[in-house]
Amino acid sequence: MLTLKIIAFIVWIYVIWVLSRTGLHFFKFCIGSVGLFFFLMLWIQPLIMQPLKMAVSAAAGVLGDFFEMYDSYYQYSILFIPKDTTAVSLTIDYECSGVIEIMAFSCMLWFFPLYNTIEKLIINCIGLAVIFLANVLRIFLICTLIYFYGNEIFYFAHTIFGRIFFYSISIALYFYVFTRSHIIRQKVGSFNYGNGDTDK
Amino acid sequence: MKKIIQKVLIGLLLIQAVSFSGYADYGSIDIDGYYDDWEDKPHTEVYYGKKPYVSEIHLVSVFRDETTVYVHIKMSENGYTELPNSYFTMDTDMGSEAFTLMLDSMKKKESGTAGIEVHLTDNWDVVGSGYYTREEGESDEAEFEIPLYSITDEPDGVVDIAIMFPDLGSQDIVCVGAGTGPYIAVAIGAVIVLLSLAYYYKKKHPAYAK
Repeated sequence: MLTLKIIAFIVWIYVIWVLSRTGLHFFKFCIGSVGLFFFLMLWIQPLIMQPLKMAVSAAAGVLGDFFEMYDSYYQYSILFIPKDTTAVSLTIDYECSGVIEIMAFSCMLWFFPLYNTIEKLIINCIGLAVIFLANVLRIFLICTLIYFYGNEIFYFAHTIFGRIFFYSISIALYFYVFTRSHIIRQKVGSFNYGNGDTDK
Repeated sequence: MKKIIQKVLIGLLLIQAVSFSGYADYGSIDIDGYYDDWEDKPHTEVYYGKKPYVSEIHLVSVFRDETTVYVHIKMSENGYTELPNSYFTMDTDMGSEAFTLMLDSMKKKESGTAGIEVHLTDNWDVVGSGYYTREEGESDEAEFEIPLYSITDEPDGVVDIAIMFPDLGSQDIVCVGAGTGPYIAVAIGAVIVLLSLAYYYKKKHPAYAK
């Protein structure tokens, strides 16, 4: 199985190289980012999953401690929210950790033709921080609603309120990184007499 | 090609840098009749009626991994200190089931640790097991596990779990996840990026260049 994965990886690199050489940048972006996402999920996700879950629990726990609303058992990726006669254990699981969003953002960024390597590195770090903080705030909001309104509000808090909050920040991040920047650059680019391409 | 190889090598170095190995066993519970695994886990107070004295409150903790639900019960110090054969329910987002705890018999005034069988109440199949401990002058303590396959064929998909022990108290012990709906977020992001990319190449196309 490992051999198969390594062969797939080599084939993917070769395809990227061919698409680069032939100037098919759109296909390079699509195959490159999807392939990178696949390999990151295969090799990196198992490594960072647990530390990320713990980090999210710990960061959300800092807010919980500060406002004295809930406790964090970050070693077990659990937030414990006592509310009157019920207590809710919120488990920070795979889908809750934000690992998929972080990897997808990174993959698209690294194959996006606008930025150079240093810019991508900086934007990637900022993007990771934004996604992480958005996720922590989302969890904090869910816990806050449960703390004040009980477990009955969990479905609304988690499925509607929390997600709308998280998606709004994600959309803003994607817009700033992928849309707004290149519109500005293209406007500024009209003053450029040289070749301003960064994807060659 | 050199550039790509260079980037791959940097990537591999980064992978090495973030390779943590000491986390895999965090949070695991051993159902072995020793309860030290539960000391630092959150417990829910379970009782009937108005909140009684602390010594009359049962403590119940529920912990889970991908395949199994683990339960710990510490009976109250006063009042009902012995764990009875108990009926309880487990509601999840993938289905619900009723269970019965059957304690291996222990002679009166006998101390020690004995087994527990967890039966499905409707067909009496044994689906889980555990231990309970009874000591003179102490309240009972028990731990047992229930495989999630007794609820659904896809235990990975279970996110929300609520367990209630009507014999102990009226409270639900709730254990929930709060996923971001990651694939929706990624899909939204991908649409924004693809639209941006289409705009980028359209503007770069000689027909549009000024």
